[in-house]
Amino acid sequence: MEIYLPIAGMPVSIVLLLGIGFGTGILSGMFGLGGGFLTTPLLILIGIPPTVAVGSEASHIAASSVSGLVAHARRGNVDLRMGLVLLAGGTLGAVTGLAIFRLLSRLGQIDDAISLIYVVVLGTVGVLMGLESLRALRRHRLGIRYRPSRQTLLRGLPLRVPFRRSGRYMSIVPPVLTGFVVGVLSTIMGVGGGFILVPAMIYLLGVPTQVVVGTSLLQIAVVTTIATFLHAAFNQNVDLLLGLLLLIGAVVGAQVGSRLMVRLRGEQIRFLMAGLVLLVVIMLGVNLVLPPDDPFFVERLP
Amino acid sequence: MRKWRRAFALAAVAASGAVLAGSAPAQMPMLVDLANHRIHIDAAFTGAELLLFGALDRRGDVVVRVVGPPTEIAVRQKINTGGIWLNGDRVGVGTVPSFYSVAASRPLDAIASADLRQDLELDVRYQVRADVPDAHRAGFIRNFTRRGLYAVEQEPVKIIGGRLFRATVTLPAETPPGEYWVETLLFREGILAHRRINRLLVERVGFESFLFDLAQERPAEYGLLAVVLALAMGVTAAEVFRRV
Repeated sequence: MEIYLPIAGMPVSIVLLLGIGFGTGILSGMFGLGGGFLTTPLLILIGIPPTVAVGSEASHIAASSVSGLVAHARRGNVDLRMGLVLLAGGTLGAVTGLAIFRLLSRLGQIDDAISLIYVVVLGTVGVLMGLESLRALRRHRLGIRYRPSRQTLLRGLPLRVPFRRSGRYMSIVPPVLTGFVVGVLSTIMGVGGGFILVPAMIYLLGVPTQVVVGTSLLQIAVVTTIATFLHAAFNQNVDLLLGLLLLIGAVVGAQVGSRLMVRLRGEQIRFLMAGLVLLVVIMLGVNLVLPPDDPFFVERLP
Repeated sequence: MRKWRRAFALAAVAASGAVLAGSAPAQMPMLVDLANHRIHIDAAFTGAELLLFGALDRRGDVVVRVVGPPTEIAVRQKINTGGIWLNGDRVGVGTVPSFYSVAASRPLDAIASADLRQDLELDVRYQVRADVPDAHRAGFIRNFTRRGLYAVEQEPVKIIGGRLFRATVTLPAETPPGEYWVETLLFREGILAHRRINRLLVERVGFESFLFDLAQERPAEYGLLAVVLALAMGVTAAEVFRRV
């Protein structure tokens, strides 16, 4: 069964969109990811114009991350103070990212830049996280207790405050910087940024995995809500029908995902996430390296 | 529904033929009409078939050209740069028809001379500015042809008994909305004998048109609607699943 999407200007299978939504919803509930890094390339792959894919994806991630956020907040898995500190940097980063996005658009290299940034950033994150989670899984099998190293690097920074929910007493400088970098990258890549934020919080900030998920959803929900409005108001590229179908699948998936997560240990979650991230890297990398079917392609000018 | 429409249109063709045979309006070498003058893009739209039918006073060759609303495009070429395919420079192609199809009762080169075809700009390449590099022009035409937006001599105009004719034009799913010109040309002995133009309107209707117009005309309100809808859906879902 197909439905005509008014802004994208094309018919798409309803089941396909619900399925994509459901899949990314599971990720969002399980890993604290919006799932945009997977959905946006998939939407472009099935023929949705890239700008519409990015804009509609923002509305979909906003909804599914809010759903996940509520579920996690109820279990007390959100460090509100950490989330607000991250958002302070994230908002600043989003503005900076938008400026870079516009510069690249003017140079006409935005889509290649996006693909390359995806491959480099996702590749690095995926490999690092995969290796770390494998080590952690092996430690678990051998019965060695994991002691997170106290980050000596972060010692001596000013503005130290307690993050009670995360069980950390540290400077606000590292989380602000983390939020900023994630804000920049997520605006350029048109995603929520969870796949960078989650590992950064675990490895750089030492936040426990269970709290990371809920807290990163807070940042994702706020950033993508702002992005949805900006895309709709300035680019007219948000297809509500597309977003709606994706999120009907996603809200169901998010609930399933947040339940699955309770049954898994942190390193198992991280291992699965690394595998998924690397899968997307391979998919995008192959597209960059393989010769295109037709080297010529058409851009519609506004 | 579509079948019914077609049956109705065929009946209309037969009727007009009967009228023609009876009164024989000699002053009118060709009569043309469309089965429907409006094509609606609704939620179930997956493309449409435009049916055109008409009658001739005596034998001739018929060419039907459909031209969609103009659109401005650019073409780029992927170039292998150190093993990776990157975008080359953007080449402006200018304003082109967003849809272009030509159907003929016989091969075009048998109907009209190259000069006449050029004068009438029948060939699709005349729709593209002359200063566009050949490779880019060909790349653009290939792209639009693959998407079903450009179709030259893919479906013939059928002439029945030398007097009646019908043509079907396939409009693909991504048919752009707007005003279309349907031009029917009658050729005799290689000379353009008659030309008729019909207007066709392709328009969004219902929910599709509501959303599209809102997004275009009131983007800020549309943005707020999108945000409120997203947040409401998210919270509702979380509530619903808490009780399960």
